[in-house]
Amino acid sequence: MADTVVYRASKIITMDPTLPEATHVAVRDGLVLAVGDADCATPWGDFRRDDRYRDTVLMPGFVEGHAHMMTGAMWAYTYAGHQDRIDPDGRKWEGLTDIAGVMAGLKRALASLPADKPLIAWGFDPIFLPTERLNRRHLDEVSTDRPVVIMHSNFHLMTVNSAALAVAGYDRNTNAVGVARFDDGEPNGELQEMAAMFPLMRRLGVDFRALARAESAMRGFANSAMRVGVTTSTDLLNELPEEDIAKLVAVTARDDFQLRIVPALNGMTQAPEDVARRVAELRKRSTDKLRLGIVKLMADGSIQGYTGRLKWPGYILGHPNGIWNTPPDRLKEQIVCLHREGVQMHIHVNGDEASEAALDAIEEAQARHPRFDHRHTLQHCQMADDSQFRRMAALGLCANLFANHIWYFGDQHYERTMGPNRAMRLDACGSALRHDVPLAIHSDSPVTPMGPLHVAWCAVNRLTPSGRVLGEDQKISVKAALHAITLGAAFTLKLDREIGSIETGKKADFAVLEKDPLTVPAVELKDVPVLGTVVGGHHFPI
Amino acid sequence: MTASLDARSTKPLPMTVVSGYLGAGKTTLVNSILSGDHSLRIAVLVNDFGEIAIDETLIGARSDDVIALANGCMCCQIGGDLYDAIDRILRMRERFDHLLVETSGVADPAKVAQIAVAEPDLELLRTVVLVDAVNFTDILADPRLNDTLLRQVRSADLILLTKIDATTTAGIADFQIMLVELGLSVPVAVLPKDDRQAWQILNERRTAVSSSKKAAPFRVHRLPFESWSWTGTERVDFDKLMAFASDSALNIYRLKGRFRLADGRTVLLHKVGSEITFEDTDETLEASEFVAIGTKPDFNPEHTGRAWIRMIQRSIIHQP
Repeated sequence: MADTVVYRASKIITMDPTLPEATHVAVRDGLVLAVGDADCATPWGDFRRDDRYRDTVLMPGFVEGHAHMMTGAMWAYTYAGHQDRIDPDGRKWEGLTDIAGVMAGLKRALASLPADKPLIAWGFDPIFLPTERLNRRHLDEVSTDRPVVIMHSNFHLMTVNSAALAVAGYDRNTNAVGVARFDDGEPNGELQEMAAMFPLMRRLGVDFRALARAESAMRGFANSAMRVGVTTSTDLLNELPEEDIAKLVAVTARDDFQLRIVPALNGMTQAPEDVARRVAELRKRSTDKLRLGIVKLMADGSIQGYTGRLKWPGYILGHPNGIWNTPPDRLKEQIVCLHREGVQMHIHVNGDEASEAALDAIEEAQARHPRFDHRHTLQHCQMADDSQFRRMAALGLCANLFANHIWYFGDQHYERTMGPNRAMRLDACGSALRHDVPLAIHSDSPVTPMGPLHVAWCAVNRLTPSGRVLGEDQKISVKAALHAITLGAAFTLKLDREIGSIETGKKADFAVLEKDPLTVPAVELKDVPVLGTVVGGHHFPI
Repeated sequence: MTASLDARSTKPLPMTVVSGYLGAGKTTLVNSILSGDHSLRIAVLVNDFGEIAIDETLIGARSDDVIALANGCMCCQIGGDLYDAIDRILRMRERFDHLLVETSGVADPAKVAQIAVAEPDLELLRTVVLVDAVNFTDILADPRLNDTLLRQVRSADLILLTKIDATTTAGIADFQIMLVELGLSVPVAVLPKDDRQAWQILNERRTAVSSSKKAAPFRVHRLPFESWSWTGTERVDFDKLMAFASDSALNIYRLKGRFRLADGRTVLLHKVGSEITFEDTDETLEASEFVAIGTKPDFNPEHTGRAWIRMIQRSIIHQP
């Protein structure tokens, strides 16, 4: 007979309304057999007790509804950001808080690289270094003969040294718009936008997308997830070629792989009929820890990059409107077809004109091919107002809001993109719940660091670095936020039958916490230490 | 990718950007170029194979995202990343004479063109934007889309009108009115039906074109039209304005403008062919403005300009 183990915890937050709190959970075959007190497993015959979680709080493993495998790939390069970051192996990278610090950090990194390798760093953001703008002269002090490249955190800019400029053949005669210059006409080392960065990247072999497809990236992704209590994560845009699927199936199948992955097929590079056919094939390839079948569409770009599509009156400070990734008519064609074919869609919409276009499309799809419980999800959906949330509710849509933006970009939105009124309803979790729209919240890692408790903290407190509270009435309760990072996100993936709560029959996926998130002060929610995870009954302590 | 690539390791590959909104006719053009009789080995990057229709007998080999043609051309599906696709082509540099990139219907062609400006292994020939002469007014009227179309038109060094016969003057004239109103001096042509002519246009260097259009602020390229536009604070006498607009000696085919009249009214005036319509408007204008277009050589911008100035001088009401 299968082994039954009863784990004792100081508290178990189950997210099951029938039994919200417990002290013991019984696990058999990687599934939850029973929840309750010390005797909960008694009706099921023999069991053994395990007290390793005696002093901890167990929650359902967190579900990250919007992240990218790239999270695990970045660490092949040197981190040079302003805030401290933890890598997949648990090493803390100190934030580099001034130009001297950046240079010192790069010198240290260079010293540990093989002599024939260029130094590639990432995560840098000049917004935090208000003094002189970093340029090639600073980086020439790091090295004069080896290429040094710092990718900015937005991936739209890089700053490089003179040796790197020479690799790309850039000099004062270069015409390209994105090659920035000193006043004397010489390139200053800053390369703006991909067109200007591309010649250097291809010559130095910098390819983030290829890195994200490597097994090391999958492992790094799973490690990073485990460190923040995540046991299921999406990889929310993947081309999913056959060779990658084989690799994903093999890697995730191992018992020591600590993450369930839900990749979303890129639904924009083929005709929707072909996408639907491909999805039908992919569904059959799903395994216990690899779930295939959802599709990603993208309507617009990003708000902080001024590429999100905004309704009138658009961006403040006279910035022109953003760009469509998929224009409304095409989006409607795709959505109507995929909806008819029974495909679940996750639709990237940042600006409110984009969310409106998606709503119009779903409305037509529902009118032509009515479907219950489709669970199409608007992803990011950062500027939706109440009228749009009412439509989401009426059309049966879920919202996965980018609550981390409130902290990471909230001040920028208030001061530079959408202005005070609309910034107050940025990622309006309160409105979503008031209108009964199923809610998840996310990090979009690596855009912001993965960390569901941090995302929940944002939704609960709505604080920005300058101390603003962005919309008192859009705050949600701690309990609601914990729901959004567990069952709420599981619901958007149609996995709530299997994960998202601790109850009989569900996967034994737990987040192991040092403190009780329901009793710590709400402003300390993000600081609750994660001690590890349990995935399908396998233990992954940090 | 490897670190072995040196800047300017080979002769740069000439690149043409073909852009245009959805349905503008990009794929039709790409189809004709791929199978056309130009004896060049052209690599074509397209967004998807969905509408690529090439005679099976011309196809040498095909895979999920590459169609190799017997004539040395190759068509590659861009898939997720244009940069990846360009990198793959540059790795086969010696197999091609030319790279043609068909942008997505909503892309900003200027950004795509910049890739060829920055990359030492590429040389930007030109950015051609296709415009559907029938539907562009609908797109312009859609506030969600008009900036996308305008962005494309602004980045063009040549606009090719599609879905129109070169002899149909109405659509072309309307399009030119729009360009004048936008203050753009982009050359416009009707997409030739002949593959070889079409290819010649795509394979032309933009510098050759721009040097030939330095004289006039607005000059039409390979089209029978000339235009003349005017802005001024003078008030205009209504009867004289009507006389000017209907003066058959001037051969104005199309006129569109807003005028401050001597009697204090403001009117919008349109002329198409011989029909003139006007309506009163509540708009407060800083100045009157209009553009007139006609077929050369009957329509002469200089004559029109002189006639207008003479008329104005006779009808000016001097403001205190």
